[in-house]
Amino acid sequence: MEREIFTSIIRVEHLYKSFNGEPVLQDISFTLAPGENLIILGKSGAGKSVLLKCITGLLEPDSGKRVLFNQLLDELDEDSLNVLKKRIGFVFQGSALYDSMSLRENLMFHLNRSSIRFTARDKDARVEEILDKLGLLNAIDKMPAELSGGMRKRAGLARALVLRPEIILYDEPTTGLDPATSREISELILRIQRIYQTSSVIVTHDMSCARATSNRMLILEKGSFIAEGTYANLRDNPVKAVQDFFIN
Amino acid sequence: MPAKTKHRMILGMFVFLGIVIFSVTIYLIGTKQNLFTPNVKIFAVFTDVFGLTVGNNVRFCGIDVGTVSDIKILSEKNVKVELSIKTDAIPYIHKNSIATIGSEGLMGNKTIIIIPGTLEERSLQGGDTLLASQPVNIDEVLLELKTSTHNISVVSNNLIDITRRIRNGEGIFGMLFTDSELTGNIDRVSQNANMITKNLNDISARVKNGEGILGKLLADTVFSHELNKTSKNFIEISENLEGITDKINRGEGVFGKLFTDTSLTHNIYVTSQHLQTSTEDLQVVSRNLLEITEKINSGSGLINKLLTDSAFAGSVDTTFSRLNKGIVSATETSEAIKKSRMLRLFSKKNNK
Amino acid sequence: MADNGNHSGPSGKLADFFTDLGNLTGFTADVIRKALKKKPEFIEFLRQSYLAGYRSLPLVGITAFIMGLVLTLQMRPVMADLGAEAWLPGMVIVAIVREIGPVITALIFAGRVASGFGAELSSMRVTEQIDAMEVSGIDPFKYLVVTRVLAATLMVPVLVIYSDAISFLGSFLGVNIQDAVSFPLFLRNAFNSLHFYDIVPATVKTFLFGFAIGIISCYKGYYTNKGTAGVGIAANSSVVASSLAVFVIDLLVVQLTELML
Repeated sequence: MEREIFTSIIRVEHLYKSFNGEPVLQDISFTLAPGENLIILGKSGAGKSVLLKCITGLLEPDSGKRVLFNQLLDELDEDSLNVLKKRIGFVFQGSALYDSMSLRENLMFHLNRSSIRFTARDKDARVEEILDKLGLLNAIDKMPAELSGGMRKRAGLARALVLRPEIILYDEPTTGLDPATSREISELILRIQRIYQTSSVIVTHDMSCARATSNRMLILEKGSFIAEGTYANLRDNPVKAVQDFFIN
Repeated sequence: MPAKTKHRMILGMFVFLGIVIFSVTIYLIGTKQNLFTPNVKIFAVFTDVFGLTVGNNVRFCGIDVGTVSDIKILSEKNVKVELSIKTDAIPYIHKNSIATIGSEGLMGNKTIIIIPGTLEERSLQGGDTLLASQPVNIDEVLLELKTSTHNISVVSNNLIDITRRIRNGEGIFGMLFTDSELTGNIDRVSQNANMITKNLNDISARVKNGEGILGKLLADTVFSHELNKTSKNFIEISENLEGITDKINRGEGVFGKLFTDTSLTHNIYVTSQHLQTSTEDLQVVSRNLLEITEKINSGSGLINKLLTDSAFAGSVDTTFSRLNKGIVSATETSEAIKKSRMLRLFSKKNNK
Repeated sequence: MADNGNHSGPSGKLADFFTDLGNLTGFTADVIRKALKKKPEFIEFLRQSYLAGYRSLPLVGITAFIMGLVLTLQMRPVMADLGAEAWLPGMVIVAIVREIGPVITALIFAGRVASGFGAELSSMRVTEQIDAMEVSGIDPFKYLVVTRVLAATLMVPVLVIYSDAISFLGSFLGVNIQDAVSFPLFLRNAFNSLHFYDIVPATVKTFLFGFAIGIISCYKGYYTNKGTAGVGIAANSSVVASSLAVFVIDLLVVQLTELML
């Protein structure tokens, strides 16, 4: 069992999920190795967000196995699940910053509810360090509404990072951003991975982002994976749904 | 964080003030119901409480001194009412005070009224039972009053008849008054009657002046009891007097026998003088009483005087109790006359 | 539940209603369970109390003052016909304490706070803020719902106390427009008519009002499901449903009080 920690940090087997009889995910299986960046490419409506929510326990799948850090999700009670969740960072598409709180409070909110007890000084230091790394230090006391689109993305990332998660899940990290900012975010993802030694699952429909952040890609179409491979492999794949990602 | 601290403080003040207002309200209601002031429990037993409920006020000298704290039925004719009285008021309520049931205003709640007792009795202690006076039905009182008035007029007619005969020198004297004891008795009767009628005159004059007898009747049950007794006595005394005068009247045929004693004659003269005054007074009284009862019956004039006149009512009260005493002795006298030797003799002769 | 609103027939609406009511019951049970079980989010509770309670005071105060004043003026002619103007303060205060104070305050609270709760929670749901908490192992239910329900439950009674007191002042002014009644006399008249059996059910009622408003508005907000449009719907239906609940509870409490006293 010890060895499995090294082989896969996330393992999903035969996952099925449907809403009102409409299948959204069908027979999804994949693994995430420690330190790996995995890209899941899919158009909107393909079931990407649902997949991410199933992995983190926000949604219950109809059937299938989810193993995180070698623990079977379905067997955990609420408290252990909450402990496990703190080891995962989630970067939402719309950043999902708490808009009644300043940037500092957004980060503090998670820090204060960590299972680890920090001193006040430790907390301040950690918040400032992370914001500094993401270039947000001078926006520390701003409210989310005052931030630009790119800053909000980074702020969402900062909040996901504040508890030093082992896995970070990105939901459409570059959607709604101009190409320059989009590139900036992609680079940031790579840098974060280097600094904090995290593993990531990046869900996107943006091939440039996918190409910039990783080589291993899974293509999701109508609720199931239709292709897997590197950028180069996939470019040669004749399937139309795959080729669609290479247009533009 | 100063803004947050400030908000926290405002919230604290907000809640605190709310709790204070609530507590004050509770306290105010509580004091009204004597929950927080020391009080003493006393009792009174009534046959009917007329819708009195727990929480009604208890009044002493017109001041709220407590509340009704419990009402229990003891038996078919007895309802025990527990009163919780403020400790401060207790020293002023004497053991012979009387509890009765009244109303707060025209449509108001029922209330217990404690009529002050007299100083010679000790003050109340917890657990004491007050004398209770049942409110009297006003219609009954008025009815009695009317009968009395009727009787008085009959009596005075008879008296007029007698005195007329005496004035005319008709021979009743010779027959009757050899017995000086009897003369003395008759003298006393007429003197008493005189006093009674004077008193009645006084009262009825005051009543005519419009000083709230109705109020007195409604509020003060002691008074109505007194009045009641008085009326009853009056009925009795007038019946007696009627009897006497009838007999005297029937005694016509027996004079010519006893006309020798001049001192007796003088006595009889004085007696007849007294009798005359009495008769005239009685006539006035009966007229007054008739007028009053008519007014009361028609419900005019005095209604506005309701519930206000404790000072006058007090004086009426004493007058009536004096009157009552007078009547009692008058009744005794007339009893004595009836039983006297002379009259028995009189009737014996008559029977011959 | 994506099928909500797909039914158009009356039976569908009825089914929706019962589903809603069932979910609401489960939701209420969750709130109570979590409120009792876990360490409370005290700071958030205080913040919500401040926002929902203290911030509602001006509105509640103005309304209460006007209610007290108008009620006195409106009742006056009837009392004058009976020659019982002296009873006006007592009558108004009993009406305010037993019924008008709690209900009007609860309705204002529903209008101001329930719509706020509904809109805030539903917008947090739509922008994934609730998911963000959940995914980080923070119980959003405890943080967002329990604190708000608790704040509403405790703040409505406090507001009602203020509302009653302020209505009282309004009534005093109303009496003094035509009569000259000193404040102590007014106070005495008013409190002579007030009993503990007026205060107790009225107070119990206010807690229930607050709880119902909190529960319903949080439920509507927390389980919104129609995107941005859902925010408006949640705010609207929070107000409608909680106002209705206030009246239903009022009816039940009055009946219960009648039975018990």
